[in-house]
This record gives sequence, C-alpha cells and structure tokens, in this order.
Amino acid sequence: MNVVIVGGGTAGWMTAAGLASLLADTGLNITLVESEAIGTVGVGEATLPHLRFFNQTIGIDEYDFMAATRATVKLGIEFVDWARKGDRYIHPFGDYGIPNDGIGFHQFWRRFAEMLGPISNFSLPVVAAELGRFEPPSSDERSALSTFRFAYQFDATRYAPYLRRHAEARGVTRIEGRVVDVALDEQGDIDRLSLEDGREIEGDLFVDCSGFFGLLIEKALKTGYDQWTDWLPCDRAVAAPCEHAEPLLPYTRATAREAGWQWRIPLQHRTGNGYVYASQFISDQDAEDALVQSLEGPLLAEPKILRFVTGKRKKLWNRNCVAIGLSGGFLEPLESTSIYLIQQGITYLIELFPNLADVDTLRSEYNRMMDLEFERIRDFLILHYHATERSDAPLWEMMRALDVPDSLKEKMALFRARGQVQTYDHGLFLEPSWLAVYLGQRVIPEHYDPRVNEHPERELLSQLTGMKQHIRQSAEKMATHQTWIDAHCPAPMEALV
Amino acid sequence: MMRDAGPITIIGAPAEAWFAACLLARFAPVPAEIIRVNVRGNENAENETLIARPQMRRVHSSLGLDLAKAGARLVCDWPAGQGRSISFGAIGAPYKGVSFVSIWQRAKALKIEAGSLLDYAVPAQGFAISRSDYADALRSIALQVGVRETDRPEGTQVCVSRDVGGNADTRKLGAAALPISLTSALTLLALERSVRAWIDCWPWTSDDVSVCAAEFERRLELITSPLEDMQSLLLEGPQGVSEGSLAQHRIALWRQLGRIAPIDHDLFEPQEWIAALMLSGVTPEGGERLAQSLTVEEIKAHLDAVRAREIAHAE
Repeated sequence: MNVVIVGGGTAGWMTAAGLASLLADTGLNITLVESEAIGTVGVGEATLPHLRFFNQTIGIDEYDFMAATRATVKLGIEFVDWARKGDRYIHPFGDYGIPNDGIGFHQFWRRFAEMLGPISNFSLPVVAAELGRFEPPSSDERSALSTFRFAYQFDATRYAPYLRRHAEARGVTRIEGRVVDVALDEQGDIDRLSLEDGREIEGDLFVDCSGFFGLLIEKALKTGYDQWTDWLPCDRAVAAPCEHAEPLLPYTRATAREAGWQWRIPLQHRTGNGYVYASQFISDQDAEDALVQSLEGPLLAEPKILRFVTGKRKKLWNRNCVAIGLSGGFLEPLESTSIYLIQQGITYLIELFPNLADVDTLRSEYNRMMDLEFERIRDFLILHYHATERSDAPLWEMMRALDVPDSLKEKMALFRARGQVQTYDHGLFLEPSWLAVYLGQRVIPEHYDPRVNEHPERELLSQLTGMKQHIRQSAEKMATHQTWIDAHCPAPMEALV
Repeated sequence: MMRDAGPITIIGAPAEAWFAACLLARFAPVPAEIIRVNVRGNENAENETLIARPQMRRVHSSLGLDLAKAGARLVCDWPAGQGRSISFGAIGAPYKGVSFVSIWQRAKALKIEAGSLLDYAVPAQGFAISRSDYADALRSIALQVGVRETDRPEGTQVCVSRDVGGNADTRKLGAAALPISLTSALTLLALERSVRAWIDCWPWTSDDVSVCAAEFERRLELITSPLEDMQSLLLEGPQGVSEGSLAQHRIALWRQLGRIAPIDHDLFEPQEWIAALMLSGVTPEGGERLAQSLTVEEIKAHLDAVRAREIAHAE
C-alpha cells in the first residue's frame, strides 16, 4: 500500500515519522513530497504534554530532542489581563488539590477561599512555575510530584528537520518537488500527483499536510470548510523572535491586548513572540508596531505575518485523503493546540488505518472523533474571550456580548451556578483546565456544594492549610528551570551564541 | 446540608427503593430523616437475582453494605439472556499498542490456534444477590440512618421501578426512566447511575433549578442511550438497532475493524460490548493494521501469556 504525504512541515514530518515508526513493517510504502521553495509555518512553539507521548512512541530520546530543538519546559500558560486589566492566572498542566468523598476539591476551596487565597496555591505546577522551578513528575501516586505533567516550548522550525532524519532512517522516501496537478479517478478519489518537473506520484492513500492551502483536501476534492470566525475572530498573527531579557521561565505567557493577544515563549536561545489579532480591529502595521515596541530584548529577525481562518474542514478524511495539520483546520494558538491536533490526527489514522477496500465506516469514525476534538477545543478557546469584563476595546466588547455555541452556554451556566464542570472522556481539556480558566476569567460559582459543610470546619481548614504548605515546600525543593535544562538538555553552545 | 428540604418519597420494588434511599441518605445534600420509602410491586420476583458489578464495590462499601455478609455470591459475569453471559473482566491485554482483538484476529489470519475471543476474558469479580436479601440488607442500613418506611407517599415522589404508579410530576430513575423493560442484570447499574446523576444535579437554591434540570436530562440520556442499545442488541441482535444510529455505527466499526467506538461516559466497558456483539453473531472481519507489525512468535507468545495468566488467576 502506498501512502503519499504532501507537505514537509511539522504536520508532514510528524505524520511520516509516526506512520514509519509504527506501520512501516506492515508493507506500507511512505513517500513525502515537499518543496524547499515553499516555506513552512513552523506551527506552534509551545506544546501540550501529549507531545511527550508521541515522541516516546516513535522512539525519540527526550533530552536529545530538547537540545536539538532548543526546548525549555512548559508547566502551563500564564494569562495576563484577560478578564480585567491587571489580572493574571496560570492554566497549569495538573490538578488542584485532592477530591474528598466524591466532592471536587474546588468546592472545599470555595468555602474557605478568602482564608486560603487563590486556588493556584493548591497546584504544584503553578507554584513551581511562579518560582521558576522544575523537576520531572513522579510516578509515585502518593507524591505531590505525581499531580502534574509538563510540555515543551521549542523551536518548531527545528522539529520537522529532526523528525525528517528519524523518518528517513525508517524508510520514508522524500521527494523534492512542487505539486502542480492532482488527478482524480472515475470515483472521484485522488489517483496521482503531478510535479513541476513532470514526475507523477501514484498512491492509495494521500495525507494532505500542505498547510492552509489545502492542496488536496480542498483544491482537488472541494471538501468545504466550517468557518468559526464569528466565535474566534482573530485571523492574523505577526511573529518576531527577540533576545532574552528575563530568567528562563517554565511557562508560556499570553497577554490580552487591544485587538487580540500576545504570546511570549522562552526558548533556550531566544524568546518567541507574536501578536494574534483580529484584522477588523487593527491594521497589520499597527499590530507589528505594537509587538515590536513591547519586546523585552533586541529583535532577532524581521516580523512575519501569518493569515488564517479559524474553523475546520467539513470532513478531515474525505475520499482517500486525510487532512492533517493546518490543511484540516486551525483554532488559533491561544492554548497551543495545533500540534496536539496533528498528533491526534495521526493517532486516529494509525488506529483506523484501512486494510479493506471499504473504508466508509473508518472515515466516519475518524471524522466523528476529530470533530469532537475540534469542537471541544473551540468552546474552550471561546471561553477565554467571552468570559471577560473588559470593555476598553471593540474586540473585547464584541466578545463579551458574543452569542456563544449552545454547548458552551450550558457548560458556563452549570459552572456559574454551582461550580460543576461538564466533563467528557474524549477530548483535550479536562476538568482542571476548565476550572483554571473559569476561575481565572472570574466565572466564580455562586454557591459551593452544601455537602462541604458536613465536614468539621477546623479539621478541614487545617488539612487544606497543610496541603498548601506541602505544595509550596515541594516546589521550593525543585531545581531552577535553568539549572535543570543546563544539567539535562542544553542546546549546543554555538546555538546560544 | 439543606435542612429545610421537604419530604422525598421513593416508590418502587423493595430492592430498588431501599438502594435508592441509601444512596440519597449517603450522598444527597439533605438529611436522611426526610427520606421515605414506599414499597410497591415485584411481589413475584423476590428470588430474582440482581447483579452488582465490580465497579459498584466502592459504592456499596461507602453505604456500609458488605454484600458477602448479606448473602451475595461472587460472579465473574452477568447473564445476558438465552443462556449467554457477559464477563466483567477485560478480554486479553494489548501488546505493543495493538489491541487484543486485533492480535486475536491476526492470529486467526495466520492460522495460529487462538480459540474463541471470549475465552480470553480475565476474571473480575462482581456479586449476584437475591432481591430479597439485597432489600433486607439495605433496609436495615437505611432505617439506621433515619430513613422511614411509609404507606402514604408525600412530598417529592421518585419512582425507581417500572409499572408501580406515579404521576406526571413523579421523577423517574433507573428502570422507571427507560422505555424498555430492563434485564435484572442491569437494574442496579441503571439505578445507581441515575440516582448519582440526580444527586449531582440537586438544586442547591431556587436559582439553579433550571440549570440543574437541563444537566440532569443530559446525564440521564447518557445513561439510557447505551442501556437501550445494549438491550436491543442482546434481545434482537444487530437488526434491532435503528438506521443511522450511533449503535449502528458502533456495530459497523466493530465488524470492520474489531474496534469499539469510544463514547463519552459509556455505561459499559469495551469488553462488554465485545461480548454482546460476539454473542449476537457480529464478528470482526478485519483488525488494526498495526497488528501486522507483530511477528508470529510474538503473537503466539502473547496469546500464551494471556491464557496462562487467566488460568493462574482461575486457579
């Protein structure tokens, strides 16, 4: 069976490496077509903890990868000025406290919130992040160190070349060339690709990793796109790296701005920055100026503007083509979900990889699961914009008054009334994430669970205070983030000069 | 605790009614003293056996009920009608990221002696108990914590068994909430989940009644839908499943790939769907491609290891 991947960015080489590592022994021939003349977006400098599992599964050494991609550790995302100017909170990769008698920890915290301070005091990754400290999680479930996970902040432009070496060593054939035509067969499936130099490439299954362009899934197959721009109106980003001026922080920062928000991602050798904005509220030049003026250190490259339309392809697997990465959809980078969606696309493709000629059911299942992923992330992202008290700029006024999807309305009403998070088994953001953002965005439950009052006040308060101290002490014992990086995965010296 | 709440009367067959009363008394934010039990129906079914799944061990423990002492016996499966049974335990174990079903499929394709898929169920223990023993044990616990028995329903009425009356305002939970008759093997499962959903959605003030009602309906649908699908599959086979439904998709995916479609908050474990499908005559035609990456030696060794573990466990 011949699989042809079109596009050699992060999505293309992750797909190639994933398929080659897991399915190459099953008689799969994998070809990747890319053109060096076409640039890549280098999607996502900040990632989610799931990427560690992907790298492990395909046999990548973590420290080698971190050094090669100049990676740092990410314990969460700090949101600044989102609900109100002056606010800040961290959405961590970890739990808050410990549930008691089937009642969520936050219900207990809510009862004593005034005495205990913010709920972040009960999150080890938040406390560690604020202290600039890190130690890998423990597998001992009794340890506080088992209550969190971590991700990477890395130079995404180095990830694809790193994976390319890995994939080619496992038999992936790379073809340099630009696709100029896509021929369909009588049923409407993709039959072959024509390259600029006249070569033709045939395949049984095609994976479109051509980016926003959607060369196969859209240009050839006319699959269609569900636009979510009414809910997620940011449609551009201007990105520019600069020199470090702060200690190496183990978290990403997202600061709300007049017409969107600005990211700050500390890598070993530089800081990545970008301003994601809604072009209806600010010009490209003004956005670029605003970004450049706010940088912490000297600019290291010319600012680059990216354009996107938030939404997803109507079918991510259509006919014999699967769209992975930006060709499948984009939900803006606020919660670092792009690489996660690539990873999920690859995972489901491997799990559902067709053996039989009839693939209708497999396609349906793939699209069902990916739709769930996209829609649940969409709602979570909208929450950040909608749950705001800001009225100092047209974007924020518009988002505050937004008619959000019913699925989000229900979730917010339930939390606002009683602090309950509507949970699901399949999807990215689980209860602690929703909790972090609800509370951080000042969606404060009107009541706490009355069953909490059945617990003796003094005993409960003593337990919670002890838990808070233990978390603080555990974080203080960790190494500094910089020390840990230097000890385990420093970038080659020449990269830091 | 909402001490000013009015009386709640649970109406139903003894086992269901006392179970619901105990759950409310233990977990709901109201005093046990306001809970009444009005026993009705099931006069002829007291010797019928109820099944407490392994996952219910914790809830029974938190109610203070020791099922073994109450007269229950250990079982590893639940009766699925027509002499069939469905194991509680996982079927086999994955290897190198390949599902066990696909390994078994691959073995068959390679003509390796693999036997029946369902023979690889790993034992997991639940309990079987007669309705009367269960009701007696729970009644004793409920009365001790302050629940009262009554002949005359008052306050909020909650019906937990089918065909025992109730009016338009009566809240229906468990089998009473289902349009289909439920096998006794699923009675406690349906009831426990729906009572827990009701407790989770208990209005704490008059302001959150509508929010709680909407959430409860959503939660109830998550319980009733898989129950109906499982019942239809076991009673009528794949042809009993409606066109275009999620259940039909689940069957098609199983048939094509030997994969159980993941559904949020599924009431049943994947192995239960696998058993129900196999027992209904729906067998997988293909498996995950990933299984082709395993060598014959690896497949044989893995099947042997799973068999050995099962035998060791049984011994």
